[in-house]
Order: sequence, then structure tokens, then C-alpha cells
Amino acid sequence: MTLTRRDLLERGAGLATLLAATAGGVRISFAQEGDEIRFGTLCPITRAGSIFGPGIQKGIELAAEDVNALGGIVGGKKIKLFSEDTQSDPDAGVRAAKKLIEVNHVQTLLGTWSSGVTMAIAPICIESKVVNMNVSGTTDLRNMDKKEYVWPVGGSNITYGKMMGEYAVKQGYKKCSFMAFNNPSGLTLGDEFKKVFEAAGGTCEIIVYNPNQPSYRAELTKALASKPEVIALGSYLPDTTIILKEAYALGEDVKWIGPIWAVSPALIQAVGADAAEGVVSIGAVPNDQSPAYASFKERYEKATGQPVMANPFAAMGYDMLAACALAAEMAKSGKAEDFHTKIRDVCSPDGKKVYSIKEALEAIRAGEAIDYEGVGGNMDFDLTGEAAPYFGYWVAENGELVFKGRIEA
Amino acid sequence: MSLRLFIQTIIDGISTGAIVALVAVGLSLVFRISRFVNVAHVDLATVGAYVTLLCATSLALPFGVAAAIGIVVVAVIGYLSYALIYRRLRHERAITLIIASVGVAFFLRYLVTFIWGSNQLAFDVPLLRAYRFGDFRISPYDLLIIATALAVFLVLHLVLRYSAFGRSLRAVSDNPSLARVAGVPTERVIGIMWFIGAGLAGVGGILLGIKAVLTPYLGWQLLLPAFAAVILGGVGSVGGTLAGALLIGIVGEIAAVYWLPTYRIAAVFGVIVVVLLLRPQGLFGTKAVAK
Repeated sequence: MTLTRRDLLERGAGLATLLAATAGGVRISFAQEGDEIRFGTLCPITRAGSIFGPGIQKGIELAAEDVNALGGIVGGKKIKLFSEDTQSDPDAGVRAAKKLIEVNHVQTLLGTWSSGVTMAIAPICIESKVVNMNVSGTTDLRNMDKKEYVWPVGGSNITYGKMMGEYAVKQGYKKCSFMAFNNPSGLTLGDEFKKVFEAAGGTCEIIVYNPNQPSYRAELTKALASKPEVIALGSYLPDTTIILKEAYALGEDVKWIGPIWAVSPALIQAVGADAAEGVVSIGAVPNDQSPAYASFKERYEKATGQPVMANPFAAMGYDMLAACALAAEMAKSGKAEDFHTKIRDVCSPDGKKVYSIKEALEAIRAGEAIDYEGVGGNMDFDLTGEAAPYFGYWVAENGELVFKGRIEA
Repeated sequence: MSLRLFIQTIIDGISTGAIVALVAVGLSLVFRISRFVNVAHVDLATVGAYVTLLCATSLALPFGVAAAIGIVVVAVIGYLSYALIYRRLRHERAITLIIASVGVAFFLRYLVTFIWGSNQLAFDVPLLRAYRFGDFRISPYDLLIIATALAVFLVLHLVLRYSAFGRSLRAVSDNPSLARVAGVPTERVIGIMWFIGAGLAGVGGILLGIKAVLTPYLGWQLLLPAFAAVILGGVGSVGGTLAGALLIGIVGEIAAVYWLPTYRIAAVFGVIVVVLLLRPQGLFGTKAVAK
């Protein structure tokens, strides 16, 4: 086949039309990006964190709905969410973070849960000038220079240790043994617990144990040797299960306190109602005293069919998006580079206390200083950039963990 | 008080050692006949526990029946792993067989994770209070573990020492070629030994599952102590393995109670080093030759 000049012209024209159409398409998509603010969510939808991830994501979505229903932010721009799954895995988390940042051009990555994932994506967020809010507990996040881009709101191991200590002190316990899993989490919980407990006049001995043992009887013998009223645990589910089974066999009369990730419904299922009876679980709870809480609770439970208390991080997800949206409104910019330094300002305790996104936006537009109090926590960030949630306690009764109330610090 | 604590610690050490012994003895038997450390042995223990769980919960069989099925299934898997993999590699160097067994170990562990997930599971057995004998206490399950270990070792000892099969086994493990020439059905003896060794791993895994919780790493966490028990007791010696495992349990428990729990493993391996410096062939070992 020979190519005539006419053919060439026709084909060339076709190509030019195609190029023009594509260029037009690109222009349209840029135009859309200008009218919206792109926020990313990066929750653990599958694997280890899957008991929390979908709830966190739903919390974030409810907040985005609220902002958009109020007419948007930064001069009427709507928030558009792009969501990826961390798979509770640092490698998958980093891949998802890069996709959200490079392909979707998001300004935030909200809702990471696993400390490993958060530590892996934190440098990427700082480098790319994207805000991350997470519920990770590692104390490494406290010491990191986060440049006001990375914000832990779920309570660190330090906070958990302190709150377990506060609970023990309030119960009037004077003598305690603390069994600590030999890793940074267990040791931090033990140290913080001991500080609080001994400051209140009690004595506390820390027994550190190694993981993956078929038996913890010697450790238990040591913990019981000082005849404590209570044994506190800086532990995980498998070791806690074995320890409680062995303690039950011994029949010693001692109380137990542990963090919610170890003393969970799965623990009661594994050891049975008898061995678990009376064991106390300490964990973060939503801010049920916020006027906005009831409406959030109703919408969340209707949307998911899950009680909001079963996943305290869900309400924190709502606050993550709310804080970022309010900061963007205050900075008058939807770019994280501009609004990341305003996050602390909209949650600062010096301002007027506001509980809903609506009253917060109105106050910001009226030029007032505000202190956003969330439905998940009070979102007051300390010097290290960490917000401590509220804490509550549960007691195992007849095979169920029963919520008893908040622990006031 | 202190003497009471010391004796109690020894009792506790014996029950920890008994679990190690049940897993280690199969490792030792397989080593004796095939001359390599079968790393997958401990994962057979895991499979035994999970198959038992499946039979006891999903099929609602009585626990004893479920456990018997678990043990047989594991024994068959152990035999098949020999027949399909290790037999073909038997003329290779020991390191090739060890690497192959690492592969089998990973395969079994991830198969368990794939089927049952990585969250912990537990047998639905009642929790029982410890029996008290004067000042001392022992939990019924620990008693079961110790009794099972003693029974298994007694039977093994009698079989290996006095039965025709035991004689054949000793002949094959001492000199396979000579045994074959003398009319010993070498292949069959080795196959039966793999079957028994793997079944014993299943017994250990099920008892460990009763005592602890089921995770895909259930058996894996016993590899080091079990291997240490085999080395300490003298490679290939059944009585030595029992003695080695009990010593490991007791030393670990004493170190944890009187020193620091975190030094448990360090103390155990310190003792192993000292024993091997004094007796390189182990407590009961003869000078075994590995390929």
C-alpha cells in the first residue's frame, strides 16, 4: 500500500483532533481539581487492622459529608475523598500513600492505624507536604520531628500507661506488679504506669518477660511473690491468654488490669468467662460529653450497624477530617502546605470551645479563635504534636466486657 | 518457704520440659534415621493442633477422637513429606535436606495461616484449677502432659530396645547398607520411623495447644528448645532427649524465678555450652556421625 499525500493529511488531521480532545480532557480535569479539595484516607481496611479501619473510614466520610453539606470550605470548595487500604502492612501502605499523593494529588492521608505503617509513610508525608493523622501508639512518633505534618490522635503507649496507672490509683491499690512484654510498647507502658502509681504512694515492681513462650508461670510466680493487690499488664493477646489461664489454675486472689488490645472480647472468648471475671480493660473512648456526639453516634451506627463504642477510633476519624477542613478554612487554602500549621490553631485550648463543624466554620469566618472539641477526643495537641483521647474502663462480667465509665486524669 | 519455692520451680520446670521433650523426641528419631535436622518437624506439631481443633469444633467430635485424628493426619503428612521429598534427596548432603525441610516448614505454616488465619484460636477445653499436694500445686493439664511424655518415652524405650522393629531400626540407623544386605526392609523401617516421629510432633502440638493458644507459630517457637534438647541429650538418644528437655525446662524456670525472666533462654544456652564443652557427644550420646 502506498501512502498518498491526501492519506497523510487525513491521518494527520485525525491525530490532531485526538490530541486536541485529550488536551481538552486534561484541561477539564484540572478545572475540576481547582473546584474541589482532595483529601486522602489511608485506613487499614483489610488484615490485622480491619476491625478498626472501615469504622475510621466511615468517620472520615461522615465529616466530609458534613463539610460539603454546609457548602464546603475555602470559598465554597467541596471535599473530595480518595481512599486506599494500607492492608495493615508498611509496604502496601507506602504504595497506597504514593498512589494517593502522586496520582490523586491528595492533601491528606488520614486514618493510618498500625505504627509500622505510620512510621513508614511519615517521611513521605513530610517530604510531599501532605498531612497525616493517625491513631498509632508508638512513642517514636513523639520524638520524631514531624514538621506539623504528622499528627497522632489515638493515644500513645505513654498515655495508655499513665491512664492504667490513674485507674489503679483511683481504686486505692497500694501494691502492684506490672508484667511487661519485652518490647518498646510493653516497657513504656510499665515505666509510665510505675511513675503514676509510685507518685501516688504505691509500690510497683516491673517483671519483664520474653514473648513466644509456652508458659509464663515463672514470671507469674515472680509477679505474685510480693503479694500484690493487682497485676497490671503491658501485653498482647496470646501472652495475656496464657498468663490468665495459668493464674486461674493457681487460684490466686489478685485483680488484673490490661490495655484494650490485650484485654478484649477475644481474650474472654479464649480463656472463658470464669478466668476472665473481673479483669479490667483500659482503652480510648469517644467524647460522649460533646453535644455533637449523639448525632454522630446515631449516623455512624445506622451506617455501619456497629456500636460506636466498639471502635473508639471511628469518632477520631471524624475529628481528623474536621480538624483539617477547619485548618484549611482558617488558612483560606486547600493546600496542606498552607493549612498544616493551622491545625494546632483550630484545636488550641485558648480559643472559644466549639463542638460541631458548623459552629466552628461560623466562628472562623467571624474571625474568632476557636478550640475544636471533637466527638472522638478533645484534639488538644501537646508540645510533641500528639493529642490524647479520653479514656474509659471496662470490666469482664459473666463473659462480657461491660463499659463502666471514663477515667478522669 | 525458699525450699518450697525451689521444689515448686522444679515441678514447673519439669512440665515445661515435658512439652519440649514430646516435640524433641520425634526430631531426634528422625535425625537418628535420616541424619538431618527436620526443621518442619515443629510445624507438624502446629498442624496437629489445628487439625484437632477442626475436628473438635467444626465436626463436633469428642476431644479424644479429634486428637487421635489430628495425630494420624500429621503422621501421614510426615510420612508423605519423607516419601515425596526427603527420600529423593537422601543422597544429597545434610544441608540440602535441611534447606528442603525449611521449605516444607514455611509451606505448612502458611498453609495453616491460609486456612485458619493468623488470629489466635483456642481449644474448647474447660479451665481447671491446680491440684494441691500439701504446699505444692500442679495443674491437671501439666500432669497430663508429664504423664503423656513419660508414657511415650517408656513405650519408645521398650519398642526400640526389645522389639524386632527396634532392632531393625537400630540396624538401619547404625549402617543402612549393612542392614539392607542383612535382609532388613530398610525403606519400610525408615518410612515407619517418619510416621511415628511426625505423629509424636502432633501429640506435642496438641498438648501445647491445650496449655497455650493456637497460632500459626505454635510449634515454631519450640524449634530452638527442642533442637537444643536433642543436642544436649545426645543426638539420636531417646533417653538423652528426655533428660535434655527436662534439664532445659528446669534451668529455664530456675533462671526466670531466681534471676530474670528475660535471661531464661540465655541461662539455658549457657548450661548447654558448659555441658557440651565437658561432653561433646551430649549427656547420653555416643559419638554420632552426621553427614
